[in-house]
Amino acid sequence: MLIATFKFQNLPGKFINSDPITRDIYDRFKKSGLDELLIIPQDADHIIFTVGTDLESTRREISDLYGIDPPQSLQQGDAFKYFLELLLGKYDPVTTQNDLLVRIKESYARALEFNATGPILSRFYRQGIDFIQGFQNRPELIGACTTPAEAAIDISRKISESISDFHVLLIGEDRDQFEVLVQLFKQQIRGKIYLLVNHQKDRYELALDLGCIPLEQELLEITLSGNTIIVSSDALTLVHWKSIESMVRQNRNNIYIYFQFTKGPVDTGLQRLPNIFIQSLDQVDDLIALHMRKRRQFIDALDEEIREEVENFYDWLHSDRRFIFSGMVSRNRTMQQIFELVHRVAPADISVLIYGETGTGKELVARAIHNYSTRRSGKFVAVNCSAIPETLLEGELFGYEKGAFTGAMAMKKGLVELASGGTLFLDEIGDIPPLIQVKLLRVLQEREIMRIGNPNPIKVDVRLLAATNRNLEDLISDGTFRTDFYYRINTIQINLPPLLDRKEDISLLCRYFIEKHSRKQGKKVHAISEEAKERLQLYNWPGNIRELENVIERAVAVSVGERITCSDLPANLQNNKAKPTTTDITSLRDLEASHIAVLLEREDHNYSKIADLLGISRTTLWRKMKEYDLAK
Amino acid sequence: MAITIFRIISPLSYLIAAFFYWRYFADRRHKDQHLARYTESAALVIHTSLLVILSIGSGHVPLAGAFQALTTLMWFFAILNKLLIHEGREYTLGVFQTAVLFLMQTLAMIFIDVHAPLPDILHNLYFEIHVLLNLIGYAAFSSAFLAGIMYLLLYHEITGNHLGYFYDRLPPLAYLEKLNYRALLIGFLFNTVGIIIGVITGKTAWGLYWTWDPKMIAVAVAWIIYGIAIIGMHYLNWKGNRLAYLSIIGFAWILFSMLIINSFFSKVHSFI
Repeated sequence: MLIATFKFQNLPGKFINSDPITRDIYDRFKKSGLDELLIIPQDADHIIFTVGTDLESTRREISDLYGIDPPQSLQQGDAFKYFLELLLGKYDPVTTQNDLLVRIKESYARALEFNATGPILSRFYRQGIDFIQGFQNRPELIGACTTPAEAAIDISRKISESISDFHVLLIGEDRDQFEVLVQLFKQQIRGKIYLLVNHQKDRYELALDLGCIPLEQELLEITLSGNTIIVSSDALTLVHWKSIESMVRQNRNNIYIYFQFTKGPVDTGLQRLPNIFIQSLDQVDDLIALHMRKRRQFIDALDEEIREEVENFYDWLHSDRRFIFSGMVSRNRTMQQIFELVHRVAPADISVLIYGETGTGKELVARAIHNYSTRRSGKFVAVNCSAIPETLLEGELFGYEKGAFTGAMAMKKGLVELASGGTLFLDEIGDIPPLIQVKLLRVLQEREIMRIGNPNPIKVDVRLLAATNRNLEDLISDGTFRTDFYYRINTIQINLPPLLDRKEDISLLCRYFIEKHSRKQGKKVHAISEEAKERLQLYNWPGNIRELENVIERAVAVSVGERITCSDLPANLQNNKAKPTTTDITSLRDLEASHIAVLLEREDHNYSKIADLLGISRTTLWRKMKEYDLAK
Repeated sequence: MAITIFRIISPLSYLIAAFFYWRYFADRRHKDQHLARYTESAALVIHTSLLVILSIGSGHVPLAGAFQALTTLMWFFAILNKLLIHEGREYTLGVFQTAVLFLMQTLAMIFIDVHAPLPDILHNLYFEIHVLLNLIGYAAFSSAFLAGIMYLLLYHEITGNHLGYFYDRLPPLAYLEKLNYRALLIGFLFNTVGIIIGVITGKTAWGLYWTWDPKMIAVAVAWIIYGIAIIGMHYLNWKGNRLAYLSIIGFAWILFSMLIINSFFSKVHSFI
């Protein structure tokens, strides 16, 4: 498993801001054998990160995909280091840190949109972003001037400390340059921005386009009394300088700062003027170079931190840990996508509805959402609604005052109130009676509850997560579930697959549970026999992962050696043997070919789905299709 | 005994502070900044204790002899900088101040005569006040001098053709100009009042308001230089670079007059 980094000089089409072509790039990717893809544009190039098994074939795959020469491969085997350095701005010295981050985040959002990232690149991206978040307020990164406009502002600040009361006078016609300048100045300066243009024709239009006040040269000295930053896109003529001179001399108590945004020294042709600071482009370039040098030094000094982070990432990539997320273990693609989704929805303070059969880990998902949210320091209160009798549920959820009903001996806080500031997880939400649904809706909408026997509402601040294994829409048509409540909690849906649909996880889960329970029971069981594993694979697991865990826990308890064998399994599993089902004997090759052909037809060439169904990677599927001549 | 220890650790503490300020100035590491601030505060405490011990030992303000006066002057200088420099800016300016403090304090501590008798004339309370006010004035002029130097360092980078070392480290020109001006103003104020008190009490001592003693002329010249700077700033819209030059010239003149004129030519107004 490796992450390959490629650099394209001419990937067909531009990437950002031109959706159809981006779509094309990702659509082509979907037809490929590659699992994950993240494209980040950089100047005219595109940096592509992708996950493959070996570099050469991935390289060929990419060049086939886009019909171009094999791309240049970057930092072979060290994609994460490259990514961190990319994030820090090492390869992009002329972009501000902020712009850079925005661009990378947009690229990632694009990849998500086309469902091109998977668990590995998600982690890759997230760890990178987390890493550089730690350096976000370092002046070397964010305070750096990368454009002449920013440098001009920085120099002006160094001269006069505060420039908010300055006016700006732009001289010349360099529209592109001035556009950037005007934008920047408008953020920093409260004074007026004037534009003085030489040639007559469309100067008013230009001024209006840029959002400046057009100005005549003759009016210069009358209009511009106040501290002023003057930016000229060309070297000025003596006539210009004459009017600037008289302006400067007339307003002796003001500061004037002049920038010439064209190469070469500034020649005023006049005696030295008293209160004007004259800055050539060399000065400006100097400052940019200085800041870039500081940024580079800063990044170089981070070498050690980067190395550690990279090591950390590859450790994760090459270990089983990458299948473990917050107590859940899976290498299944659907599950990995769920982990990814949890990461994304956790920080947003919205309700999530978790569907899943019993024992699929609904509460674990809810806990993960809580732990990755901003409420993680608050409480996580889990309520199994079907475990509490309907008559007591209201009191349990909302609490009651002393004497509210017979038997209410003391005031009791409800679970909703206890979860305030944290997360309330309602399992088996389908079992809640409509009356209580209304009250819960009130909690979500008004953010307040009323204890039984107390007319005064109490403010609460909870995030509601709900789970069920019943189809709520059926319950709605039965009239036992309220539509308004349903829509309120169903903002985001997570559907947990049953264990039957993710059999590839069984051996991983076995290993995980064996470790867990042998540690817990103080046993030395570390493995499971092949035969026993086969029995587990063939079982249909109605109780899902919880059942699997119980089976393993029991097996660990009864096992005598270091391995779990068939005899350690419960009786119903022991008799579960593979039955040969073939009728006509054909070669395995033909069987495989016809099976793939059937699936291609049925799933309309949706390769990732087919690969999932067959439990092979897309690369393998693609290879087999070529082998059997099934590719379109 | 206690005095001997203080004579050693007082310059040393300024040296350590200057060292950390220097490291911060060069590399911008926050750890150095904290260390510098702590050691500087400690140095100030040590310096204060030294003056207190000197005063208790001799029964008067430590003004006897040039080097007692020098350490008192430096104490005012340290205090004034604390008051003048805006919170947060001292970290880049500190290196200049602590360097001066270290050098002057070393000089004072090597040559100080702890048991020097107080000149008779200073037993007069008004003369004592005269001297103290002038010391505060000179301390302020020293601050202005430093601000002027820093202003020019930065000014020449900005108006020259290469931005670099000081651009990256010093506070804005406008700030340095303000610092320079405020220090000048404070110095001029104390200096003026000090001179007036001196002239009035001089009348009682010598029966004359004014003598053409070289030192008194030198003081008058310095006062005129600073006076010109303030008038220029206030009424003629002079810019910071001219102010900076005058601060430097004025201070250089004071040093010159103290060291040369005072030692070799002064007859009447000499107490060393």
